[in-house]
Formats: sequence, structure tokens, C-alpha cells
Amino acid sequence: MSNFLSPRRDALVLALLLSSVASLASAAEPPEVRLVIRNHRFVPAELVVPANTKIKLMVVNEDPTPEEFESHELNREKVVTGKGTIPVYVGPLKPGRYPFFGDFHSDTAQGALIAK
Amino acid sequence: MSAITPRFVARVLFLACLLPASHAAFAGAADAVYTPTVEQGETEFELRGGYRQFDGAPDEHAFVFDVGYGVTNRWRTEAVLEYAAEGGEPGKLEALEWENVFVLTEPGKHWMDVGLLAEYEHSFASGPDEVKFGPLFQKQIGSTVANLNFRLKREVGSGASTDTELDYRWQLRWIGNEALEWGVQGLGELGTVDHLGEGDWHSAGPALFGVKRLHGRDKLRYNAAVLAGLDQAAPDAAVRFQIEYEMY
Repeated sequence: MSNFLSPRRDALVLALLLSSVASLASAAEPPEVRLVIRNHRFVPAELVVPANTKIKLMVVNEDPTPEEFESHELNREKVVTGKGTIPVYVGPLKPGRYPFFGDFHSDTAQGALIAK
Repeated sequence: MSAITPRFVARVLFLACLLPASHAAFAGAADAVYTPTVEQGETEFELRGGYRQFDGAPDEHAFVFDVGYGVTNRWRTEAVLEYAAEGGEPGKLEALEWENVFVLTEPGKHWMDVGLLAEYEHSFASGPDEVKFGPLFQKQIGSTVANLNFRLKREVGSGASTDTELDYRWQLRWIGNEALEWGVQGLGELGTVDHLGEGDWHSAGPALFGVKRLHGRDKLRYNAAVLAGLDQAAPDAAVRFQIEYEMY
């Protein structure tokens, strides 16, 4: 039998399980699209993006308060601090409309990606 | 407003702490599938439960109470209390666990999202504690989200076994109406690292997922599954559920 990490078999299994991390690091950066949060609203409220293409949304929060970019359709939830910027990777998307909202100010912060 | 409030969950946790502690290791009945995602600043109260029926062995049921916090967009830490019972006997508090989820890749950036689960389980029995860790994978294709977890388990401390066990969990979820979505879940064990495939078992079955938005920004998130054993060593049938109250 073996110790936890030193024996060859344990190390081999661990290496196999985690090796995918390294293999994932070489992807090329997708097209970047800028989305601004200003006065608790998304600007622009609707963004047209290419369908069937991965997109890097740069969410720029110009407000001093934090916001959360959230979309069930895009399967994304991510907090952006006040005056902060975050990347949100989405897609490739089939043609269609994908709503998103700011969870901290959902009464005003509403928007959608239009994939064409 | 929902009856499930933070005060209610705290009261349940407190009452659970008053129950006598003892042996046994059946909290696996309340196992869950993990995703490599974390929401910064979110406090989460979670209740998981499960029941497993065996052919020729006592049935098991278990509950897990969990309080977690998203420290950053990449790290969530949780305190977990495990309660389990076997064969119709009174249930007992089994273990206290410190659980951590690390997001290793930016969600959606690479071909697959990867995270890491790391747990330390302190047993209330006189036996050894347990260290568990392993990778969490997520891949979205169109409106289908697939998750796969592997977990290495190793006893530590006095009387610890020298074996390292490997188990796995997976699920498929079809994105649709967020209040009620369909999917499938599966879980199983692969044996010890030195003897993979010996003593392994596998189960799978249909699952439900959903989110209910509550007052303010609070959410109630749930999933549940009915699992059938796929081989002789697996539980004949199992039912599991997970309810999370998420608040900021």
C-alpha cells in the first residue's frame, strides 16, 4: 500500500485528473465586446454579437457600487466591483436573444445579447 | 417571503449540534455534484439529503447542513455538518467538514472549465479523519451543461487506512425555464487507487434543477434526483436532494 502523494500510482492518478488544466491554457483570445454599467443600467442595453462565435464581454462598471452580471440563458453570474472591470466569456451562441441583468439593480439594469 | 430564513437555518444547525455524536460513514447518501463556479460575496445555507436502498444490506439515509461564503470570484469556503443513519436506527451526527471550491479557469474562456474541490472531514467517532480532493469539470455545449467531478479520499490520523479511494459524480442539465429544468445525474465509486475497478459501483437517473428568486436578491436553488443502481454493488435505488438558500 501507499502513502498519500508520494507513491507512483497516487501521483499518476492525480496527474491524469489535473493534467487537463494545463492543456486548457492555450486557447486564443476571442473577439472582445465592451459593455458599460452606468447609473445602474447597461449601455448599450442590447448588443449584437456574431453567432456561433465565442465572445469576451468586458463589463466595465462606471458606478461606484458593485453589480452582478447575471444571465440564466448564458449560464453566467459574476460580480463586478464598483469602478471595476471583469471579463465574461460567452458562447459560441446559436442565433437568438439572450437576456442578462444586473442582479443588484435588476429594476433598471436589463439588457440582452442578440446573436446574429 | 419564504419560511426558510437565515435565522431558521441557523436554528436548525444549532438543534442538529445538540444531537449525540457517534460512528458510521453513510453521508455519501447525501452527496452532491459540484460545479467550478463561485459567486463573490454570496452567503449560502444548504441542506442536502439522501436515501439509499440496498439488496441484502441495511438502508442508509443522510442529511448535510452547510454554510458557505464566496470569498472571491475564485474561492468559496464552507462549514459542513453531516448526519447519517443506517438500517432504521436513530441518526447520529457523523462529521464536521471544511470544504473549499477553487475556480481554476475563467468560466467559458477555455474548452472546459476546471475547478478544484478540497475537503477536510473531522469524524465525531474515535476513528480517523479524512482528506478529500479532486478536480471539477464543466463543459457547456449549446443549452446543455455537463459537469464531472472526481474525488480522491484518504484517511488521516490514528488508525487511518493506507488506501486512497476514488469516486466520481456527474450531471447533465438542459438550460430552459430556470424554475424547473431537466437533467440526469450519476455517481459511483471506482475502488482504491491501487486497485481501480475492484469494488466499484455506478448509479444514474433523472434529475430536476431549478431556481426560485425570492425577495430582494435572495434565491432558493434546488436539485433532486432518483438514481438506479447500474451493477450489483450499487444501491438498488437512491433518492437525493439539495436545497440552497443564497443571500448577499
